[in-house]
Amino acid sequence: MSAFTAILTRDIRLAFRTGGSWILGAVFMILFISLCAIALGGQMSELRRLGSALLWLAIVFSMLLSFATIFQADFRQGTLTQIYLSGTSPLILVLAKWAAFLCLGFLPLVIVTPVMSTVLGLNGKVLLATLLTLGLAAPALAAYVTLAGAIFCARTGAGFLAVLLVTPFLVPLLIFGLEASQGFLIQGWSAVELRLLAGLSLLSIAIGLPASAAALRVNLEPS
Amino acid sequence: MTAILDMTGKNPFEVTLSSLSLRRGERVLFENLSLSLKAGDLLYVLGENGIGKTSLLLALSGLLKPHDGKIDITPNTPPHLSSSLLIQPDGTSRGLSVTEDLHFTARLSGGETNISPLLEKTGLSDLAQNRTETLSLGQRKRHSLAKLLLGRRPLWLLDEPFSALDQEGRALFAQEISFHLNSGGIAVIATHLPTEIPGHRSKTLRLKAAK
Amino acid sequence: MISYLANPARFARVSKWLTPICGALAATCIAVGTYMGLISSPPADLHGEGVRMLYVHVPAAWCALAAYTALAACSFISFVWRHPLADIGARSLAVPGLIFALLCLATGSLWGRPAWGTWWQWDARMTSVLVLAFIYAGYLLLWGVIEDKRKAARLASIVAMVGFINIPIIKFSVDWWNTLHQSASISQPGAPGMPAEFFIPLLTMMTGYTALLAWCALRGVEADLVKLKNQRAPKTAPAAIELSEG
Repeated sequence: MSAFTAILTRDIRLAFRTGGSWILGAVFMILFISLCAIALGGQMSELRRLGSALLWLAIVFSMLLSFATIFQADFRQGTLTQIYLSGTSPLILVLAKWAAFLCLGFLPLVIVTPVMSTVLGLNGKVLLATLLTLGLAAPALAAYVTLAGAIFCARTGAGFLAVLLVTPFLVPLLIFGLEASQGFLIQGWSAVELRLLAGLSLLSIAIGLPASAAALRVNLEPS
Repeated sequence: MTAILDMTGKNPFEVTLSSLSLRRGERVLFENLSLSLKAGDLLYVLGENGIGKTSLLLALSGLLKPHDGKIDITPNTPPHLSSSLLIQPDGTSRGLSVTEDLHFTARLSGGETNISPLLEKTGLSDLAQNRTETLSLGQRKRHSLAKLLLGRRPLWLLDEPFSALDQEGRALFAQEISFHLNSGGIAVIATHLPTEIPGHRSKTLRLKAAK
Repeated sequence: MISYLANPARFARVSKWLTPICGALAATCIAVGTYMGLISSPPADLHGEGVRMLYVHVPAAWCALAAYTALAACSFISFVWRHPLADIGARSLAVPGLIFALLCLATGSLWGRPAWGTWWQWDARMTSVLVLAFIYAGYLLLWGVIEDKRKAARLASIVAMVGFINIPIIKFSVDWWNTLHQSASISQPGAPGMPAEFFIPLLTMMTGYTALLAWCALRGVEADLVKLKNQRAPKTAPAAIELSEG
């Protein structure tokens, strides 16, 4: 447990010290939404209709594209090896890194979302629905991005392949997330889709994190 | 997760290699290596670059699985929990200060967190708040030595520990290795130039390229 | 049976008679099925002549899925028991699997064109098979991109197992999504309740395609085994060991 908190606090501390690259995720989201708005002609009625989906896509892509920030730097420094050799199990290491990614790669996006929802003309209820369903799905999204990070921690430049590998697994989360968002708007907290989403999210975490630990173990072995 | 520390002689620490054969990728580095190391033993591994010295250290740490043969450790603990590995890259976190990095290492091994005596011993007291990326090569080696001492593992696996160190640094390292051996630990050092550790005989394993 | 076949030499002996049988079965079934499909079975009222695409589209979808199931099974064996033959088996199933998936999409597109008016519709099967094609592509590229093939094998097997668990989830979610968003007029190819005239040619084609899949996979494994055998000789001799005291 102390290893978990040690790694988590270290990662957060390092993120704030090494140039604020954690902000880039939020910046990407703003850029993505802006480009969407421009490409779609800037009509509020159109944007309002598509808004929820665009927010989801912006966040999914932002998280996906930061997959390399999770493990790569530590791998290259040899820190992952030392963490493993200290007796920390790969699963605890992955849990700590996953938690750090949720803090650094997802929370900034949540902070930006209300502003972006205004830009897209979404009202408060839609924003709430989006934030709620994103909150339920984000741990699962992060789990699969962590898997991509673990598979490619030893190599740079694998961006598109990492995205390709993980996108199929994100499809159900995307579908259920947006349906749950709609369901919440109509039925509120009793919407069955919310529960389905939560269940799917837990299942994805149960699949993604142990797989990440296994992939990390493979990469820690010298070739 | 806590380190093994029993070096009092009741449960003497031993490492035995039986017919060990190591491979990196498709290349077999060496075959059929059998040797036994007891508490207090010092082993130098010599050979030109790329011959397999570091790979042997990696195998002893449990990271590299043997192609053939086995590595036995008495008492029966996994290799990655009984050894401390010092290789390049050394796992120092860029962006943390010396103190923070040592605290991090300590928390991972569940060891003690009072690091001031450690800083003094390794001559890093003045650099305690400096970021690790500002350290010189010699200072980084001292920092690695501090982490080695934090781990308190019986088997030390050192890859070129004396390189980049000045006279004083070398003496410090040699002294700590000597102390470690006296307490019942084992040290395996891969190097180009074996340095005398006063008061200890050493075994030498030389890997020569086949003609 | 798995451990029996795991030895490469034994595998070679088994595949010597198994592969040609699969090939012959594939050729016959596909020929017969194609004849029946093109000539002797009547066209459906709704789809016209285009329904004959059914005989390629449905078996191709089935085979794409079957190939992935076999691939996931090989990956599991590879991950737990680390047998190189399992790795080769998994990889040899991936290429035909991907081709079947793409074939399914192409024929689905051709079949749907008259009914849909467009070359593509995001109906449940097309979308699921498209995602399956992505999974195959990612798997194959992973093998290609990682140079250390031992590592590639283990990472690929992890990805294959995660993919396998996800496929029913993806299918369920896409089916559900489709019922919510698409009108019922977009017809589902291969709907249940097919009359017998369709069923027999379809079954023949299914058998033929499965045999074809087996044939491709076996040939792929044979080819890889030959390549592996030729690579066996180590290039550099191991280092000499010299131990001394003092």
